Amino acid sequence: MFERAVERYRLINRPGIAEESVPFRVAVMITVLISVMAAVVYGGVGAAQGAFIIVGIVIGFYYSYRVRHRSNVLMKFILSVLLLVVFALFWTELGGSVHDLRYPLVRLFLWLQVLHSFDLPTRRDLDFSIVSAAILIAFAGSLSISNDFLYFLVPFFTAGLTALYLGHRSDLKRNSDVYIPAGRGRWPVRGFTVAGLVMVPVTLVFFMALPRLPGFNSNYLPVSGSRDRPASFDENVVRNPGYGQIPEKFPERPLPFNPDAYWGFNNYMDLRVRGVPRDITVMKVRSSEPSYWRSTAFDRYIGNGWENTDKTLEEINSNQLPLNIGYPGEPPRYAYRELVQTFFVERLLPNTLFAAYLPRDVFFPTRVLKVDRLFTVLTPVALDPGLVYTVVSDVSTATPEMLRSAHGRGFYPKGMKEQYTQLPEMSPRVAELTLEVTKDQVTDYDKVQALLEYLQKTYPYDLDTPKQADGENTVEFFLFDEKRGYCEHFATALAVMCRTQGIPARLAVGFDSGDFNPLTGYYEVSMRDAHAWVEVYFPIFGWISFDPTPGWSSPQALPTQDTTWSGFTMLRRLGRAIAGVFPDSWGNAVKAGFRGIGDALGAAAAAILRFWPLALLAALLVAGGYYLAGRRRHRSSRAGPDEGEPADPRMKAAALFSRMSDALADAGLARAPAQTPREYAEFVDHALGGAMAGRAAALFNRAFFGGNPTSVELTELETSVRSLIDSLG
Amino acid sequence: MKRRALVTVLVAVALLLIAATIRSGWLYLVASALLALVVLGGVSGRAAVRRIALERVTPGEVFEGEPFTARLRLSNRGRLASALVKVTDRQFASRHLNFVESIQARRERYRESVRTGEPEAGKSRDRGTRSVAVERLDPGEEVEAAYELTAPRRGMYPRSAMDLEAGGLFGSARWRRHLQVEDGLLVFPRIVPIEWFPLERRTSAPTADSFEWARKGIGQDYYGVREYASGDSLRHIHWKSSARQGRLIVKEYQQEFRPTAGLVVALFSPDSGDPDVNSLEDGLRASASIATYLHAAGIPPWMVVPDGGSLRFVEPRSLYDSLEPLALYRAPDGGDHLEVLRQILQFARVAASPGSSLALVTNLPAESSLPLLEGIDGNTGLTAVLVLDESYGPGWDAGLAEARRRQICLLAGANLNLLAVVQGMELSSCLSEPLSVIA
Repeated sequence: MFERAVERYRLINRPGIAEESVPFRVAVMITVLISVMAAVVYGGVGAAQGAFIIVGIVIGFYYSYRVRHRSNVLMKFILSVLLLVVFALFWTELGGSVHDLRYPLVRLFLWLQVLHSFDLPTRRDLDFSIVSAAILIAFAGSLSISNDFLYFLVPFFTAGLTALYLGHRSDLKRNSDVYIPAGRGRWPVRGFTVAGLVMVPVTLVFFMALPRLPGFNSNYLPVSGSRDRPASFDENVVRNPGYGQIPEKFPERPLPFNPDAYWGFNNYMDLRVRGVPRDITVMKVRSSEPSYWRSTAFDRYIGNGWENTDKTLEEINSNQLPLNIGYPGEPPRYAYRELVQTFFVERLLPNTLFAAYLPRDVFFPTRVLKVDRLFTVLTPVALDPGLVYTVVSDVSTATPEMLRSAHGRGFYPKGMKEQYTQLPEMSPRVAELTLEVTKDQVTDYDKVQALLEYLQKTYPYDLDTPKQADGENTVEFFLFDEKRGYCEHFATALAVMCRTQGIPARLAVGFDSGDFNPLTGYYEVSMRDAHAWVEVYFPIFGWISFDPTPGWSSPQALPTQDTTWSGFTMLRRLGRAIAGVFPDSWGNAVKAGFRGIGDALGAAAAAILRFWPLALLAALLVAGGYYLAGRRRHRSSRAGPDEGEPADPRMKAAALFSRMSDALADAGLARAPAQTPREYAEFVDHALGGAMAGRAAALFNRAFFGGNPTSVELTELETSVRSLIDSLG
Repeated sequence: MKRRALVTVLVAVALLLIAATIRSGWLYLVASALLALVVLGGVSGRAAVRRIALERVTPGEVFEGEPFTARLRLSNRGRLASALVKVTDRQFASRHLNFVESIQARRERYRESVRTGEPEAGKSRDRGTRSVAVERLDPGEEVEAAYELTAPRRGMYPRSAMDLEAGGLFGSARWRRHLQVEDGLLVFPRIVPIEWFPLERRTSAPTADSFEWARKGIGQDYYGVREYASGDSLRHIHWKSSARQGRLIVKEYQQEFRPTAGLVVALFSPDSGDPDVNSLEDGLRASASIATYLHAAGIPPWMVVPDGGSLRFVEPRSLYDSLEPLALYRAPDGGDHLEVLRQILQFARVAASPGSSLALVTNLPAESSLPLLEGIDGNTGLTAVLVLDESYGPGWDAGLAEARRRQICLLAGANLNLLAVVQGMELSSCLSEPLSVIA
């Protein structure tokens, strides 16, 4: 019994078959190191800890190689203890970072790699290292918010594929009885190149075709770690770092334009400012659906600009996250859903929270926020580059039918109508035009929608709109004089026209959703995405956003765009990325060409998705055609004399004799139906002279009628038949 | 699916789930690359195995249990190089083991490695299979590999089962193609050397030297003349004597009498034993050994062997002719075994010339077969080799074997030379020691 137990213990713990291939081990180590470096670079651990891990892994690999033939019981015991310590640390850390599990997981995998590298005797262990490295690089990718991750991903796959090749080769070498090597200097460079070239498009096809499903309903809520922000602050207005020296009150003269900042992120909006912001990324947003990242709003229209007149800021304090904002000054509303967004700030931004309207829970590294009745959420300081915060918003899901049904029902909060239907002295033409456009509409929603469509269809979008006079009314300038404009003009016009009808409206500013980068999974928001739109109040449903600018959709319409197949936008981005690589000196034609190809491919992909049954049918037809062609090719390739012979030896003998008969028939010596093989052979031998046919017939008779013919008999018969056929010339 | 491919797909799926949850595009990309790797492995593996042609050359005829060299020729008929291709010759592959058996086999391998001090072999786990791996095969290139195979059992193997597999450069997935390579291989039963075989003779000419004497028959030498009788061949008419005597006289020739021996094989499907070791196979090994012995002694035995539902008479010109029917032996189909044995013996009696020695190999129970043997013609010496089928079953040991042999000896009559083949005993000694000697 004891002996059996000992034997079983030894059987289980016996050393495996050691992996002897040094190149394989080196390739695996490089693969692991690249994944570790990626995790370190993207903040998995600090630089010092990262360096320690890298050195530990190198030493571990060397140690494993040296002791690969031993049982290493003591080392395994030590590693087991350390493993328990690492897991204990992981669980401890997990408790402190429930909002973002990625960092503890990355650290866990990093330390697992270090420990595992000390116990890599067999190929299976090294394979596990590759798998572990793949998981680590994937986690590093989840920490990355830029395309720079490709600089790690490409070397990782190069090293990883090399390791796989060497491992596969080593495996075959060990597990085969005869191994025929390729010979010196015959590395499969060409094969590697071809495989690499094929793998890129196949990967992209998978990447594009994989549906972006909703996944598990687990919100993870990253937020910058530092909470040493002030616990209180005195600032009560929006401060834009790009417009630091502007006057407190609306100026007589237009504000100077700063291309690196949006003039609307202030306490007032000067509609006389002209200029196009630069295309620089200001933040990246991870969100399950696109939305407008709202900053602030304005309630008072002063003819050539807007002002935020609300000075009753409410302070929100909490020692723990999230900071719950609530609904100051608004009655409860209905029809909304939760939207989680995480913002990664890349450039200095004003001291307001950017989030989808209406922010509810804020995970921000501070203990205090301020919010006014227009839902401008003020932060203690400007948003620094590197800041990460998460906001859970309640975005409206009100449908047009719901908004129509709100007409005449519910009530407006006290003072709201007065505050949001305020208008300055201006030409009655605006009201007349509004009346004309909305004369057939009954509900507020239909009126707003009619005005929106009128503006979008009648007025072109133009960033080069000339300046207006300092005191000139912007709405009149836009509607009747210049008849073109950009988002601020369209939004102002809609808000003012709504107000002429007694519909509460206000101007909101922020960023539009930005470009979705399918590689990172983030919306990349540029300064050029700064935007203005309109919020209209509907009893029961609250403030609903409308965007009258041509080419833009209202924020609540954005989520209806299906993002399941958003991977296909990759084609468009790829074309644009390639176009971006070429210097300007190459001319616009080349750039436009690549951009056009990308757009065309993207459009084609979209069309395929739209008409997927047809695409599926076409794919099936192509596959069927290919299959049939392959079968035909296969059949024709089987037509050779030595192929396609029957497996049954008797049938093989019959086939050989039949082949001889066919050849003789071609030579004019056809076999009569009643002739036995021997009679036929006598006839042939008589005609040709010799006795070859007789011998073949005798062999055939023996093989076919004498039971199971042996291989020797069949070979003899085959030789005779061939000789006879050869003699026919 | 290969384990590596399975792991890769599982990791990719796990990454996709995480990617969907945290909406990370890079995770989608890594997962896509892993899936692409599996697809690429499968596709390139398929392309690699499709364009490779196989040819195997073996000696044609071999003996079971004796290693022989097989030469495998691989040629790339495609336009692209094939890398890391593996061919497994499964002609003599063992049957697939179930989970418990594989655990036991693993333990056995471990015990063997402990006993021999050799590390556990990483080569083909199944001793019946052989594998050849080629690192690279350029278009049009041909390589040849030689390896040793051992046929575990006699028979005709018209083709060999081959597995051709490739997983592309990275082995991330595997594409396997099952092939049947036409390569007739005739495996003769194993022959054990016999120093002496107790061939029973009933004539007065027991030695080969004294076997010939003058007797009329169908020989070549002149014996005498007699009067023509109806049915005589006209070719044999002695015209001179006929003319002289005025009536038809025919010539008679001297009978060429040489010692002859017959080997009668009456082996039936066994009730016990495994496919390689059972009373039928050991009986055929015994028959082959006896035939070889007699050929060496200059008495090539004619043979009577059942062939499925019929009987086959074989007059050998060479040892090959004797061994071939044994290699291709098919046990009689169903029916009453004793009746079949009776027919076989009847056929043999007719075929045997007077004074012939007969050797019968059968695996029927002694109790039922011996009465039939007792009634054989007194002019024919019979040596019966009884292959004890029960000895291939469970619970058999040396003591039982001894007792059984004595019991059979007592059952047999005096005119019968009896031998018994028992599992666990050397076949050569079984064929050299008559039971009467033991008794």
